[in-house]
Amino acid sequence: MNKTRPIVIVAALLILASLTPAAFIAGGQMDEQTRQGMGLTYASLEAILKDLQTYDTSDVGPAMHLRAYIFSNKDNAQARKEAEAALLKFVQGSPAPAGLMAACRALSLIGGADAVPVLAALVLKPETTDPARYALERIPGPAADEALVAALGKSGGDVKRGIVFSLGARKTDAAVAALSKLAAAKDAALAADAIKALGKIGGAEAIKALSGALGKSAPALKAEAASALLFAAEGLMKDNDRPGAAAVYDRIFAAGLPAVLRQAAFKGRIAVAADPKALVLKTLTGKDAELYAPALAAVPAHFGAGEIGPVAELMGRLPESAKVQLTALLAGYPAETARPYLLSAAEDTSSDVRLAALRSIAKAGDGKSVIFLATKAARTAGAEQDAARDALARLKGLDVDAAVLDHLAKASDDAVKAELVRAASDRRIAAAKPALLALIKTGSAGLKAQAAAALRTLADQGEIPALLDLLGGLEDEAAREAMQDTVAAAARTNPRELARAGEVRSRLAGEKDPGKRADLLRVLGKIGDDSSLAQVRAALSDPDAKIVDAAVRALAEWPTDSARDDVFEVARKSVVLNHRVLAARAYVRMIGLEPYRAPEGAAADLLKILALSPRPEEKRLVLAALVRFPCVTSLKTAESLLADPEVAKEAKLASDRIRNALK
Amino acid sequence: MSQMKRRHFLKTVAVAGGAAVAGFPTIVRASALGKDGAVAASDRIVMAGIGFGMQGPSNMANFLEKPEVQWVAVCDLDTEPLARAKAMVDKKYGNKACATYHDFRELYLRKDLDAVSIAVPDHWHAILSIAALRSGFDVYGEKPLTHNLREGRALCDAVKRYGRVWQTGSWQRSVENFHQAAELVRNGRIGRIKRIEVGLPQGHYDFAGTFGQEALVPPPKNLDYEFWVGPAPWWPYCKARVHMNWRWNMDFGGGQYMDWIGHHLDIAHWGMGWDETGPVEIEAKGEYPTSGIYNSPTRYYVQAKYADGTPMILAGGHDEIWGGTKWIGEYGWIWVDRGQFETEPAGLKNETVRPEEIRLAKSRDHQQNFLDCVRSRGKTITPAETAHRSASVGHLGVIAMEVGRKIKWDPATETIIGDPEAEWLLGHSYRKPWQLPE
Repeated sequence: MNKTRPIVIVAALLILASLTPAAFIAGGQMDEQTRQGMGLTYASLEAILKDLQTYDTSDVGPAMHLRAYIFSNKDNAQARKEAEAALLKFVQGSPAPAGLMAACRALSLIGGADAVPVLAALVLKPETTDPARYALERIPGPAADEALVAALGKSGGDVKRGIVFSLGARKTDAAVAALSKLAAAKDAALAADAIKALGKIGGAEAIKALSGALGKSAPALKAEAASALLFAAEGLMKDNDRPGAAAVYDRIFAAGLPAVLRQAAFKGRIAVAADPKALVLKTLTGKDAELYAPALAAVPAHFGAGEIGPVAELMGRLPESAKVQLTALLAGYPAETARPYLLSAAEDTSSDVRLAALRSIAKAGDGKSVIFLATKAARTAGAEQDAARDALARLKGLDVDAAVLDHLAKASDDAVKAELVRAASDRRIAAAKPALLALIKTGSAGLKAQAAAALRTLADQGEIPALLDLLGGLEDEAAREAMQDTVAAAARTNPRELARAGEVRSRLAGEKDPGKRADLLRVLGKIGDDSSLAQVRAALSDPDAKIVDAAVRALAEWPTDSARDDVFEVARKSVVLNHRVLAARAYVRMIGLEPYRAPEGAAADLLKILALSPRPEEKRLVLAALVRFPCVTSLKTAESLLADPEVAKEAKLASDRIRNALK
Repeated sequence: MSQMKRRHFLKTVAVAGGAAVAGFPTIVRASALGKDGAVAASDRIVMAGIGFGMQGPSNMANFLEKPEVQWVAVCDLDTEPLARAKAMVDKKYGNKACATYHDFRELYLRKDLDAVSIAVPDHWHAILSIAALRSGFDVYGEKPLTHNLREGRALCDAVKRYGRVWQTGSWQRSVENFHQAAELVRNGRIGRIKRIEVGLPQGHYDFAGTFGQEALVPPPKNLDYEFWVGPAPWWPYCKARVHMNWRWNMDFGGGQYMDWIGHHLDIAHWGMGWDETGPVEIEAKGEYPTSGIYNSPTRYYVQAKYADGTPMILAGGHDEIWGGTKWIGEYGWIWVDRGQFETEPAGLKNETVRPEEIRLAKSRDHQQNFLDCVRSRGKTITPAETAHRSASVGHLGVIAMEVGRKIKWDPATETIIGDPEAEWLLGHSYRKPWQLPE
């Protein structure tokens, strides 16, 4: 032999090996492969099945590897066949229960005709029936149906029940005769299972058997049969067999069943009725109150925009629950038609009806509903007031804004006016600005505050000088605070952040009156423009206590953490308890503005402020903040408060959460 | 495997601890007569709750604050949270009248109930909920709506069939910043949406403090574990497998992805007006554990495309995708998360939507919204169909991760196009004696 030939052969093999994917070398013998979809690696099937032989679920590895193997190889006909054969041999070898389950799950995906007889034998044994059933349920083709039907006849007890389920899941027509007999079994649980299965299978014969069960069974089984028939009737409707469905619904309806089933059958009757409108009206004028709900539920589907009148006219004769339902569904009808009924319902003696009416007016109302809603909001409280206000805010239609303005000009009742002011704000009616500004000048104290607050959503930076003028003229504290917020909101409409406070700072520089200076300082705090910090800091040492107070509050309200060090100093040094408390709270809030900060640093700062916080209220705030920054310092800090009876509960909660987060 | 006997569901005896199966306080307080602003007992909405592990107590606490609710019973398979739940109700009413139940089927036989609040592991959502609807109760349920897509459709059909009111615990819709963000998007404030990003948590979080307690041991006497596993495939008991941490096992929950899909994806859909539809294509990659007892994906990246061509990314463990919901449009972006709301341009955040524009339903209080709809029989702010459509994106993403290829989806017929193996994964089998009721 040529001495170079072995070298060439070896070289060729080496080259071939380097070209072949490191994984697959020959069928059934695989190096580690990676399953793309699941990111899993797996070895040979033989190795996997060896692990599964004693698999007890304490480690999911073997089952995951089998799954990965199956999904990787099922599209290769040869590999699939080999895998099926290997699995079938495995399941007959008495593997551990969890191993059997894993293998049967795999067989449910790749099993074919060869698998059926093996699984059919396993289905009969109590210890293997469930896994075998899972596989048989999914294997396509009549062989699996036949095997299950045969097994049904050979089994008893729970095994039989499981097979009944699987026949229902497969919708096996061939099982109907056997299941029909079981539907009349003395074993009520088995009978119920058979009834369910018949419902899933459907078809004329199944329906006949179910109708028999409906007529003859004990109440629990009757209800079961009725549910199964409802399901089957839906199948008939899908197949466009309306007469068939109608017969089923009539049968259920007449069977003297609990309300929910009667109502479901009645719903079906409406769906198949030749004249559903007439049936609905007849029902609502009848005495069977149990049917009012399904009749009303059918109204939107059958009564068009111009047809709701006859239904709505029945409002007065319906019981409360039906009135609520009818009122709610009127929301889907045009305002002109629905409004009179809704306005009437909004004065009903029942609060539920009134609430439903207000919510419906939100969708179905128009400009003509405005004064009614504003008056309602002014005269009520709680949920009704909220609903009226919400309706005013959400009413659609260009005539609504005009109606709000019109009534705002005319209304003499301050409470109603206040509601209209609120609506102008909620609806962002820019045209309301002149009226609101006028109210701030000349309205009552309450209205001034309301109007000032309303402008918050409407004013822009161009109006700041005028707003500051108004602020200077307000005496009522609530109105001043509302106006401060409004000026700040107007300033924030300026896209140039560092220019937002310019006008306010200029005013402050020239203002002598302490009260007005205090207001301006508060505004600067609400705007939070960093270029104002120096001015606000300087005010901390003002001889006038009112100014100092305003400066502290301004810093405490600063929207960013730029004022953090300032508030810490106030918390540390101020002789006024209120100021120390405000500052401590602000400090905690500002730490929270940086959720991505390194936890140890944040925790160290929280520990600092905790040392300055003797009151339980601030300690609780610190504990809540510590949870957001889990680290050793946070944990130790939280645990240090376990001995404090006033905050022990919060400290325990915080410690537990931090400890968990650190795991 | 341990087996515990269960009472036959046709028996009606309440478990010890509850005297009044009738459901009204045994001592008639002034509030029962409607005095001092309270709602008269006869006008109250009578409720019960099932599941008091994590979300259940908080949901119940919110309902107990409502004067129009009368809470009469609690149900749980673990006697310890059950006792705590009963104590909470009894403390509220100043008596010991709250009934306790082990088996939800017995609870559902009560004639006095109007509604139930269900907060149980995902694998139980559909069976418990549909049974409640069939019994004539309105339901406050949790997200994700169901454990698989077929269950979701069955639940939506049952809500319609039995004419019940459904609210899903996707409570972000009742929070102002989410409402505002979605309304701005819906009204085109950032123009045509070019892309949506939904950032969800990654990994597994130890809610119960039981990570590491993986030894297979007999279940504790206070927990009916056999019943708890219920319709899911059997998994032997270990402490880390149940209570709050069940969600890291795909047979009981769906990992972080499914846990959060009903929050941030729901908001994404809300902003786009997609409450009754879904994507047309979806592909996904997930990273799965290969050891330990949990098998839900820890990192994931899902790409969905909708009928109008808009792409959506849902990701966990990918820092480039911000947590929460972000809509990126022609003229800027809007991002919203819990306690956070930012826009570009920045001033957009302060804009409001005028009455004549598209106004989204408004709710200030998620539980109150449910109660209002129980009375009006109207649609809640997160009805079943809406919740099903957001959960569907989750289910399809999970399927795409498993099959490792792009899935084409028809949201109208709810079928996977041309992929029978992926279609196979839309539903699953049930361990006896449980099956999905209609």
